[in-house]
Amino acid sequence: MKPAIKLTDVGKDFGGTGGKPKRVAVRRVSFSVYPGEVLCIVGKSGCGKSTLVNMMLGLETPSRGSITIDSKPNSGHHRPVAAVFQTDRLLPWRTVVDNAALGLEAAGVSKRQRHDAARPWLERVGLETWGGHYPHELSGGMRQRVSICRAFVLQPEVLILDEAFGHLDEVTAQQLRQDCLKIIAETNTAVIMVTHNIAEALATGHRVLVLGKPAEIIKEFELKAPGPGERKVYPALRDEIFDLIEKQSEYTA
Amino acid sequence: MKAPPAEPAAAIEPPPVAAQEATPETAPAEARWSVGRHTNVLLLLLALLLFWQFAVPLLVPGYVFPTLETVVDKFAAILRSRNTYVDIFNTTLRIIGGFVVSGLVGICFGVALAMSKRLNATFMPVVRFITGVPALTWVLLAIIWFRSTELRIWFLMFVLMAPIVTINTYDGVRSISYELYQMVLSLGPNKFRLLRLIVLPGATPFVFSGLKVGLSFGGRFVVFAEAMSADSGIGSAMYTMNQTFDIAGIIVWTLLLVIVLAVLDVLLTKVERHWFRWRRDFQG
Ligand SMILES: Nc1ncnc2c1ncn2[C@@H]1O[C@H](COP(=O)(O)OP(=O)(O)OP(=O)(O)O)[C@@H](O)[C@H]1O
Ligand SMILES: [Mg+2]
Repeated sequence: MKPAIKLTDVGKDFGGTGGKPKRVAVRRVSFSVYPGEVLCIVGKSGCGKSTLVNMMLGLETPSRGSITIDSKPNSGHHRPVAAVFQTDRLLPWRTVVDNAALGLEAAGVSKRQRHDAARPWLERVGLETWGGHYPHELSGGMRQRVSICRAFVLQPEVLILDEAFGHLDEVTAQQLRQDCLKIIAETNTAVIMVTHNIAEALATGHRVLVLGKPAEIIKEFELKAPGPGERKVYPALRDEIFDLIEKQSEYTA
Repeated sequence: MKAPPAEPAAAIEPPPVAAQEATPETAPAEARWSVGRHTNVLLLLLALLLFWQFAVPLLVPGYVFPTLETVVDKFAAILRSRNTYVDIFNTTLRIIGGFVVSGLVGICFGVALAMSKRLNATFMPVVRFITGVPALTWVLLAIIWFRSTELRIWFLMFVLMAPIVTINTYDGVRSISYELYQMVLSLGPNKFRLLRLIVLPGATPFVFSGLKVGLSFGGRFVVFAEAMSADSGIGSAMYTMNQTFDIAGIIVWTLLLVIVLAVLDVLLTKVERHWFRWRRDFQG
């Protein structure tokens, strides 16, 4: 089976022009994620996780290395990679259903079609009656659910969750995570989950990558059955990862 | 004018209830005009009128400031003349025309300046320079450059309003949240859809304030330009009054202009309200 996304020696520097000092944000990262697999990435704050995400989304170009995405044409996927961010990033001037369907609008899909595509997803997250409302009328948790719909509507090959549940209370986060995992399993999506919650990573991932600072893989953990979301958190493993991350010194350029 | 509600917001329809969710907020009751809300303004107006009627004639002679009666009579006389409506129509048309042209050019130019570093470096200093040029300079230049009075007026309107809209639009685009912009970019829109989905709507709060300032600027200078050169319009009527030292006439025409501008401002505010229906407004 071909990986849905493959990173080969990817690195990113910022600055270095106009007299600004060069700063290494991502040193060297390689990994592959297969369809249906959940890869969790943990690492210290500022170690380059969001930079990595931006590169996978095509918002930043890597300074080194390459990213290949196995996007099959005519497979019903609207975007190869979609992301749910830490904050909902909804357009305040668009209604809930328009926000959920935003990716299809960006692709030029007609209004009726994109609304028809978005409604089932809103229904899945329990927001079917809220389609005509504006984001400011929703609670934070509801807004984040809309932003999750916005990603799933695109039916991406690769779904990136960048601290997607970090903003929510524990119970809501747990419910939402379970829902997401169910959908992911059904749709056979490759998932990259960035988090600084080690317990979350251990409970949801098939694999956990621990990043150093600046980003490079310092350790990789394979987590076998039972399936993601049902697994108990292994305290010993949690402590081991915690120590690994803690040891990462503050990086100074 | 709507009558005040008989029962203030008594029967609010229950909003749609989604599973376990808080109910959506009910829309704030539409602001209605009522005497009660405007008591202070009306009282102030009454006080001013009383002052005008009884105190002003004692303080200054009629040729410095006319009595209330003179102005009211003059108002009636001016409203009876058919030419008045032609003048008002012409001025309104010039204001709207200048507003629309300057608004469109200003928005396009502002967006272009914000989206392109090179355009910005080249043209931003020019735009800033133009905003610094005194209006009188433009008036004089307009008279020298153009023979057609209509062209002179349009030139003045454009040169005064467009830079204001341009700079406001520019600031509006720059104010767009980078996170939102990145989110939209990650959806892979083409240039046109990028503009439509985030750049233009994101800049609108600033665009509206630019349009409003531009409208009041243009509205006040159009009469200036008309007084200098036109043979119709509120400004040229005021010029005629001035030549006959008719202060009452000047006051009446000023009132008419203020009314025209107020109506246009109300219309613009209505458009703005409609656009901002998504916003939870700050209310002091
Ligand atoms: N556009 C940029 N220009 C310059 N430096 C940047 C830029 N974006 C990120 N950096 C730097 O790159 C490093 C990694 O940042 P990044 O946002 O990827 O960290 P992170 O792992 O997501 O942190 P957190 O967990 O706190 O979100 C930081 O040192 C940051 O200052
Ligand atoms: Mg981050």
